[in-house]
Amino acid sequence: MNVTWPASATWIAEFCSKGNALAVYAVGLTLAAYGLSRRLSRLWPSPLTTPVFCSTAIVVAVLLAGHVDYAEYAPARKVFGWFIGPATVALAIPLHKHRRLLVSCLAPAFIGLTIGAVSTMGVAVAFARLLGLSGILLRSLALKSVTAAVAVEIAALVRADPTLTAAFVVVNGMLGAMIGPWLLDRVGVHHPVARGLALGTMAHGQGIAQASLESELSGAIASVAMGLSAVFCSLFAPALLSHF
Amino acid sequence: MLIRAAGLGAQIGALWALNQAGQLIATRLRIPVPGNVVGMCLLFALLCTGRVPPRLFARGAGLLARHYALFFVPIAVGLMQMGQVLGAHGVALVSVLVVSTSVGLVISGVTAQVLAPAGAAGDAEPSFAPARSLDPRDPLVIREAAEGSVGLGAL
Repeated sequence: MNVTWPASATWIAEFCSKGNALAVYAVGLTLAAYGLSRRLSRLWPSPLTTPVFCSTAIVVAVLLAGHVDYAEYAPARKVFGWFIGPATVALAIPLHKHRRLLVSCLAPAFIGLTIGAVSTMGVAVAFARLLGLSGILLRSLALKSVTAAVAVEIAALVRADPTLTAAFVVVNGMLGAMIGPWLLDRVGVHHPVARGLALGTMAHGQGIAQASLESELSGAIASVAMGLSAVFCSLFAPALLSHF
Repeated sequence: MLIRAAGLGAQIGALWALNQAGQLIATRLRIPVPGNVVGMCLLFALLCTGRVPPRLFARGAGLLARHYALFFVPIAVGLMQMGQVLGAHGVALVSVLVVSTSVGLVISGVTAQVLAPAGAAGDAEPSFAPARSLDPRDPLVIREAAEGSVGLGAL
């Protein structure tokens, strides 16, 4: 005991040194913001209370108020980012449970996915041109609906800027998750497969997150849609964007 | 309670291992699919063989899937660094994103719903959260009851 006590005391002191204290602060802040926004979204469901947007807004506000740099908050990105992989793999379970439904919806889902992916890219390019945005901005914008890891790869192929592309992907995911459920309600899309498909195709990971909150079937469909649209866009985007 | 926590950790660890396998396959074969989606397909294939029962992963998978949104919060917070980039053309950029994504959402959602076979809305009953099942014959309910309960919601 006499030997180990000072050693563990040093270890605790080291753990509580600035870096780790910040990590604990960053993780705790994120968890608290998420818990609060989950409650808010249940009390007042609206685009502004969707958990990703609302938690992000709370965290950013707290960081800015406390003059904390993003670099100091970054450990939270490592901690929570680790879970994205296993969480995506986990979506295989609802997918397996609903496999018969999935097979029966295979053709409609595939058609919806391809038309949606082509039209969103086409509208983005056309509207960006209309607003007078330049080549590299336009090409980076066109990749906004593709999941970040793949979008950055495609960016290299189509002479888009990887950093800008990644930023657009994240903003778009948040906007899609915010607008998506509200807009799909307005146009009368209630089928869980159709909702999951639209969210996964348009808003990648954040769309899956939003769809998973609605129903686990929607979440599972959204993850398949994200994967398929990444494949589809990597084949289709270079053909379209080489003209701009 | 310790056993429960260890079981949960083991389940999440197994899902993580599948994710790593997926990452490896995606990079080795150079297929333009995110590695975690490949990992999901691996687990799906394993479940389809019938040798691997879904309840082996049910608790860990349920916990992760329900809080999927949480894991994206730090990434979105990263946008606070992009202020200058987004500031110059901010309004134009955001309106392009909003308009194109809205059009895509409506087109893909409506197309899929119109073409989907009638009555294929699926059952709303979740395959996760077995503790909330009311059927006392459900083996999961019996096991959860025997192990004592730490609500997943508490985590």
